[in-house]
Amino acid sequence: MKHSYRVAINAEHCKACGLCIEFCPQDVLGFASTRNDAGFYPAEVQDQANCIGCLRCAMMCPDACIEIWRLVSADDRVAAAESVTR
Amino acid sequence: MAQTTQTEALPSHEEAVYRRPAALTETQMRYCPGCTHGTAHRLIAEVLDELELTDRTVAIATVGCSVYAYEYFNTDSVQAAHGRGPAVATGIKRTSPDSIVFTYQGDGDLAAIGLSEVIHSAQRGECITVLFLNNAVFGMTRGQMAPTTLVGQRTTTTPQGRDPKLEGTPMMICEMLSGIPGVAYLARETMIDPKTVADARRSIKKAFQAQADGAGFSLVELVSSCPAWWHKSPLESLHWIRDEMLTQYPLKVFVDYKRQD
Amino acid sequence: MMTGNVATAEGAIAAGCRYFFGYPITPQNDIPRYMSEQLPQIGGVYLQAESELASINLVYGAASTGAYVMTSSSSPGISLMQEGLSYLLGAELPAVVVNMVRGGPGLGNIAPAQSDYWLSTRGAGHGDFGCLTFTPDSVQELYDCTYDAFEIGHKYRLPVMILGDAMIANMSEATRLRERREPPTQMPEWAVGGRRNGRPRRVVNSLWTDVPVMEAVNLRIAERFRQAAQEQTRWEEYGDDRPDILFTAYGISARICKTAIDRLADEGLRARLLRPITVRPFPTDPFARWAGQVERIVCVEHSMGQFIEDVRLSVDCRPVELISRTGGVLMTPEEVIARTRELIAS
Repeated sequence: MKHSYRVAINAEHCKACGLCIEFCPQDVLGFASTRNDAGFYPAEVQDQANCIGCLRCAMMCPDACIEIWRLVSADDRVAAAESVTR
Repeated sequence: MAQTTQTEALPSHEEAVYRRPAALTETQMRYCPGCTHGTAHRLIAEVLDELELTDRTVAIATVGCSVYAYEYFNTDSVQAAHGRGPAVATGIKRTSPDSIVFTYQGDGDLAAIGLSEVIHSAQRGECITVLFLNNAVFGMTRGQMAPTTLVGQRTTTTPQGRDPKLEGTPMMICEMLSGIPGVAYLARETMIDPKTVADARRSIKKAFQAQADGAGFSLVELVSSCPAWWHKSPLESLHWIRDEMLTQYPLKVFVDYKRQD
Repeated sequence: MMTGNVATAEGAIAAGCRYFFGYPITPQNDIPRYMSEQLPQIGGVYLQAESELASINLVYGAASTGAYVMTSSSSPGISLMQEGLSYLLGAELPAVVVNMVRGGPGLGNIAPAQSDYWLSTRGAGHGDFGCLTFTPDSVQELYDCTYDAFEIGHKYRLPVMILGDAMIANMSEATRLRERREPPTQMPEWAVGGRRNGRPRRVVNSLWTDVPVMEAVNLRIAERFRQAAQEQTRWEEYGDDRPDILFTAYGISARICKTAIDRLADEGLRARLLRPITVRPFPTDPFARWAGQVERIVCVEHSMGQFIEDVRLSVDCRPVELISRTGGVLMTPEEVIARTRELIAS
């Protein structure tokens, strides 16, 4: 079952160190083209569909800016429920 | 099947895979871009939450770049004089033994002005946890030599590089403490890639667990970066840790009270 | 009968103090000895620190949990504690610090002296610094002042110093003990220890980079000093009700003055003693009252002329004469009398 993920970056806290971008194995992230209030071009999600939820970006972020959610569709829940039933 | 009927009624939704730990406040940390102080804070906070210690914890912020740590940890906090964190932590632990008390100290605070306090706290087997950030330089005061500065490393006060004939050799804190019976957990870790971050997290967790178990003194040295005063990018700084710092400061679990020797 | 050191320790225990951190130094070693014996028996903690730097910071940590805590030392040790004392004040933490003063400067000697007056009242730390300072002159008063110091410190959130000397620390006198109190069970609303039961987190801190905030903190502390001055200023008066000479002295010097005043009275000379029991806050009112009613004001102190400055500030520009010895040399009443006669003759 392939999951899809949503990566959320706190653009105002991001200082554009780029470590999340460097360590993402799927090229999900890149720098934004507009500055945040502190004057940084923060990291942003550029290819959400490619995310595999490995958390490497969140693990490397020195500013605890990154949060990650897994999208659980109704189909997944059916599958999960069935796997429990079996 | 009854279950199928039930789940079909539910819409798609999201499950958090990673959230900013509750043991961090919402305050933006004031560290320079790419500085691993923030990574260390995050790992400590994750561990406090995971071990359900956040509401029992008193964090000791010391003097240096991390002086504002009391704004970042969502715990009771005390700001301590330069180098005296372990003494302050001891005073709290002795009067409030149910509390979990940790100090967060840089290499200037711990290895220079505060060496006596950390050694004697370890010698007493004080049930406190010390997080020791070693980035081989005084950050806040503009990049001067620290006791942990590498031989040959240029700083603002060793412009020709640290000369062991003049300034001695790097101070090996873990090696100094490793023979002390009161030490329950002692490790040197770093945070240069996801694997070492996970290792550092594991050691921090064991250090706090040692305190919660009443096993004695615990310290984790985190070999850290200072992009600003190393004059390197955040990524280059992590590479410099890998190539230079770790040669001087090898990663190791020195003491683990749970390990069967 | 007990020594001043033991009375100080016993006064602290009776007040509910259960935590003592210290480092050995003569002439106050009987305080830690007594504490190390007593505190573990009553659920307290005695811990010998590795230095006075550690002592005062152990105190700072314990004070941040709201506990009644103390340390004791002597002059060179108090010098080492100055930074920590300043942090206590800045973080608005109460603690009791005993200084059994010895001869100085430097390593000096272990003889009785009063040369830490400025250190205690002016410069026991950096910043706009001060601590409440008691100057007992007897074993009984050491006991009483120490007993009261904890409650007073907590009331105003200020560090309190007991300023003794090597003589009263080590002499023995009969001492009336008060009822031993239990330590406070209700922790103050600023005390740390973990944000139990989901209460908001608390921070003990003296760092205020926003300068108007730092100023506001200093003004708040100053207001507490002002309140303490109204409510806690203590002094004693002794001798003739219509004096020609007003002696002023504190601590051991005051005792010497009392004997001198009695003997001068036998010789027909009318003298009175004004003895501050607190020197911060300083009892300026009685000085102002007496200043215009006497022919001379004589300050007797065992230092080069430190205490006399506060006296001069309190006597409406009237001249104040100094009788002093320094370096640990103790005057006899005869010496005070002889030097008083010289002043009168000159």
